[in-house]
Amino acid sequence: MIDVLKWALHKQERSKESATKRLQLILVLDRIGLAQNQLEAMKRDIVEVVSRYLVVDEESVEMDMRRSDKALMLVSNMAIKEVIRAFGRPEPVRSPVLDSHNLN
Amino acid sequence: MATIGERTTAPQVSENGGGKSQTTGTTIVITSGKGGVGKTTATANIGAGLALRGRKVVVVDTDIGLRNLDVVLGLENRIVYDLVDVVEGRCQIKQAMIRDKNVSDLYLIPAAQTRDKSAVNPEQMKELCHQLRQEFEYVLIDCPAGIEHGFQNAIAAADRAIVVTTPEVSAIRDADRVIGLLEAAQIPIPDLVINRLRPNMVRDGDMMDSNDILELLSVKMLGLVPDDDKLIVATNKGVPAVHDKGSWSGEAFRRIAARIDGDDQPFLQLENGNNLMSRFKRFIGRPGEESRR
Repeated sequence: MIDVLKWALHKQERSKESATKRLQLILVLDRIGLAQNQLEAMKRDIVEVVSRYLVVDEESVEMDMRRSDKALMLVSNMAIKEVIRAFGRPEPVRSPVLDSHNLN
Repeated sequence: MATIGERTTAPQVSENGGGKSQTTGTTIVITSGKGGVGKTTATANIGAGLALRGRKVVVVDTDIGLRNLDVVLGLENRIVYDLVDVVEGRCQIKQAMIRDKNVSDLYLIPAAQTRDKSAVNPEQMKELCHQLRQEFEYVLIDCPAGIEHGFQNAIAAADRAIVVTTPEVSAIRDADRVIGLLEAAQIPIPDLVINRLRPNMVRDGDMMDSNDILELLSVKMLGLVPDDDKLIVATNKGVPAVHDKGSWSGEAFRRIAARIDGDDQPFLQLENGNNLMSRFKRFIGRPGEESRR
């Protein structure tokens, strides 16, 4: 019964959803004068930064701009494969300040 | 200061209507950006609709080189002078005005067919509309497709604007662009006419509904016009659908004309669910006497 309902509801989710979703992004980009390829470039840059800390599944990265009531939102979702643990606990580095203090 | 990506509210009074204080009528531009969404049909029907309400109306075709408003109104064989003749001083404004054959107090100033958009400039349009406003309650400007010279001419003298769109991605994108340009020209936020809505497709979720479109464009709705075979028949005959009491699209345009004229009529119920009650409402809500096919 629930499956039938789900199927019926799912059937309702038709092409209009993709039309509105696509338009939401297109209109925001048009209004702020940002081209789709610039958004792609920004996406690559953000992924690069995040990749210094986390292993990102690059296939999964989604980037979207939408307007809420009060602000323009940049929304990005990305799947994390693993945390680069080594980064959080780096090899102890000698502080030049402390070293010089000790030397004195 | 408005948020980025959001529209600012344009001032409610147009700065464009030179010498507006002495005038009486309202100049309304009907525009869309994209071609083929029904601007000319809308202009003809709104003009005729307002005239049927007893208003004095003149419709001006600014689509120089691609004139069509004359054909939609069935007046193509009465043209002697045109818009370019007027602005270049070859005739009086009155000589270029063609009286409609279906309703009194509706006049057409046709576009020139053998010239291009550069034959007229925005200053000349302001001057023309200024003069037309002395005599007419509504001056409707049929804008060409695009956002170039012809568009700038058409919006130059506008007190307000009506943007026509269809429930399609490309038409809505272009409508958004045009709304931005109207805002930049200090014209109050335009009203939207959604044309060629197909209730069956909306019910099936395969066409954006009016709420989706209004939310995307951040504007108010002026009217919702169903896709209607009778509109094509009306254009074939050169008699706008507003004259056909049995036409849904004609009814939609009659209501649009009423709303422009300050008579706040309800929207046609085209998007209700497909239940028995809404079918019944649609059935009894059918305009005129003609039965369903």
